[in-house]
Amino acid sequence: MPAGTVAAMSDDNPSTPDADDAAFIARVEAFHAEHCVRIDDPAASGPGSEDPEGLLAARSYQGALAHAGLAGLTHPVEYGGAGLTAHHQELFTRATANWHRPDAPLSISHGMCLPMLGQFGTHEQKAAHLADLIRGTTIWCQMFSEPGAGSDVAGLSTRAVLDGDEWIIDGQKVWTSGAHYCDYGLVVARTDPTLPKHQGLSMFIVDLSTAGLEIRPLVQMSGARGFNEIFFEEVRVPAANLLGEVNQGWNLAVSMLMYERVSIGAGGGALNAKRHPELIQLARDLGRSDDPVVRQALAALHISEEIKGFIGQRIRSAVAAGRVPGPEGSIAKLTGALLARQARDTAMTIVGTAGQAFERNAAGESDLRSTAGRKWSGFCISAAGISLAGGTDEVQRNIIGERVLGLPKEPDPFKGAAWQDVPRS
Amino acid sequence: MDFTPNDEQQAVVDLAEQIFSDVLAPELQTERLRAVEVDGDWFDRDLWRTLGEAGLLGIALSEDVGGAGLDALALALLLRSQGGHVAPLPLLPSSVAALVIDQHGTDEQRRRLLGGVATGTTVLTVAVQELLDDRLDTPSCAFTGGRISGRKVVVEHLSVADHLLVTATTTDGPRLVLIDASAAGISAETGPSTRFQPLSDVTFHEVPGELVGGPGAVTALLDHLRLGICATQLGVTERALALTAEYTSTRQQFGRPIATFQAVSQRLADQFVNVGGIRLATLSAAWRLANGHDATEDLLVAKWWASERATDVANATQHVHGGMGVATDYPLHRYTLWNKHLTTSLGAGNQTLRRLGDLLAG
Repeated sequence: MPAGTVAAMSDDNPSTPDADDAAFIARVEAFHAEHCVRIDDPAASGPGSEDPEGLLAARSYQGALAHAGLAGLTHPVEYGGAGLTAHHQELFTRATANWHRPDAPLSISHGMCLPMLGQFGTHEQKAAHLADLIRGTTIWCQMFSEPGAGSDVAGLSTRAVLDGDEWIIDGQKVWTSGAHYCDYGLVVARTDPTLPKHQGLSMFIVDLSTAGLEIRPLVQMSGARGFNEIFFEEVRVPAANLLGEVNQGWNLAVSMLMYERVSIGAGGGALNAKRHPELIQLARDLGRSDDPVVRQALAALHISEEIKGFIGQRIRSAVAAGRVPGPEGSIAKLTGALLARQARDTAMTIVGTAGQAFERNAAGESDLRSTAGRKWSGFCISAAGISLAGGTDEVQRNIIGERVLGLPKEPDPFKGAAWQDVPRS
Repeated sequence: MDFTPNDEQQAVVDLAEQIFSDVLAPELQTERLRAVEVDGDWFDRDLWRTLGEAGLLGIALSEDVGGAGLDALALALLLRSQGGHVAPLPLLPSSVAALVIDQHGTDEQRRRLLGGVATGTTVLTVAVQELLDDRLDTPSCAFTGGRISGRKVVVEHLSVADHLLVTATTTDGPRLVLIDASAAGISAETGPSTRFQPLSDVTFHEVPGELVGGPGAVTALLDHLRLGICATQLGVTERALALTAEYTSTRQQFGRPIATFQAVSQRLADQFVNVGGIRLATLSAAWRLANGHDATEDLLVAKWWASERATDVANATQHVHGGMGVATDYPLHRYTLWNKHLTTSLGAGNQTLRRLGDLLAG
């Protein structure tokens, strides 16, 4: 992609809503007024939890959304979608920006797997899976990273070998978000180790209940169990579950990673909800809103969130105009990661020593403080993960440098070498 | 000023490192620490006993009460070792409270309390932080007629402590009050901190207590606590950086160690400078304290650096570890959690700057 792509990115603001748009927005508003609370409502529990209660809330919200004809907006009605346009998706995202949507556990399912199936799935694959996926009856995960393949994900080692009308998959995945509550996953595996690393990969739809597939949860330092290790031991997958073409998996993976980056950096829902309104309320509740240092931190956070909002809006309008997200997904994702850290630091400035407390049962005033401390304390130790998920900040900066600014690539001594001839740990 | 440890101080470092390294060797650390955390009181009693037998628990106490007769600098070096091994012990509050009692208490108090601290049979803790209040030297807890009433938060080691040293306001101004942890009138709610340690929200209702020292004792306690926090943070950040240098030198991606990527190596070089700043500021303040100079300002400088720049160290060491950094089977996450805890102890960077600004600009 040539230099100057940034300038060529769409600056179109979504057009002024017409009467049909207004009716659609009213439907979205009415639905959320019935099913959700506002993000600054004390009942909004922050980014959706992945405990059984949080999952139930997510499924219940998504099911009701589908029932109301507001789920899978851009997907055809025959596959369970609403048959609307990317323009409606943008209207939906904007109309719900200030509602607490309990759908964080579905963010990979809907932000990444759904568009991939929509874009690359065969009619049979879409007919089999899309409707359930859209209404949250099934939840999907993404299986890319491996112990030896993090930033260098294209160097992954999990093998898939064709045996009659089945692929046999052996290997290990790691950091798989949500696999322990998911039904299906999209896995990338090496189908030809004699080709250069980017050219010998394929993507498959895998039923997580298949024999030989084992999911082990990983405990994070936040105490959460959001990630998993997945072990594949002779896992048999029907040949019909190949997504896209054999050995074209890297192209699909790049598309999926861009969906991921757009989802993390520019999507709707809890992940991209503005945090400064909640933090302003927190500062008021703790009697710290008069502190000029706190006020400046809040103002600076507001500015960063505005800028990120513009970036997200620009990307979504490009998507609404029918373009597949390109490296601008990296801009959004990097901005989102930096913003999460800024919000974390602002939150810790406000809560101070209370940020040490993780869970307490006190009542009254102390409960306010301890709850705030617990919530933002948890956010504080998980915010750094946003700089890792979906490609590290450094990976995004390399993509921006090479593909947007058009800088020369870093020399690769293994360029063109067969995957099996490159050393790895 | 000379920050090079003298022979006695070096002996403390060597002995402490030997004990901590034996008990918390890398291959034992995760299992042992997890057992102590699951056990619930965040207190490795075997390790405590070993430190007591080695004479390290009374390192900065006077010889006439069973201590080793060294100073606050030696204590700082011991706490640095503890931080380097993320050892769950009440070493910081117990040692600092004992040192302040040694310096400011009556002879009778010293003899009654400090012998047990030096051997490890007596554990002390401190209660200085109040709800929604960063002004640590003007406590709202009140001590009148020999009884203390009020409330303190984020009190560490309450369940294992024999006595608490509490900051309180009297008709003569702020003072330290010593109370028995089993006294009637103490109620507490305890929950875990981010570093898995129990923290208590403690309410005192007319709890009998005794004064320790005069007006200078409150400053002495806060100063020595700040020193202890900075020294522990020094050990935490030094070890986190060492782990990170090792990991990035062996972890391969794109056919080479990730440390050979400049985005990794330059960021780690910045952390070396940050940790160096923590080391110098902490040892400088320790030297002043140990030699009887006013050190409040220096300690605020050290505390700010050991909060803000230590946060940079945590961010960087965590980030270049990728997913390994958050995995509880790998040691780094403990260093990050300790770092965060120490950063916010006695007020984070913002509160420290405000206090230092008051001192500098009046």
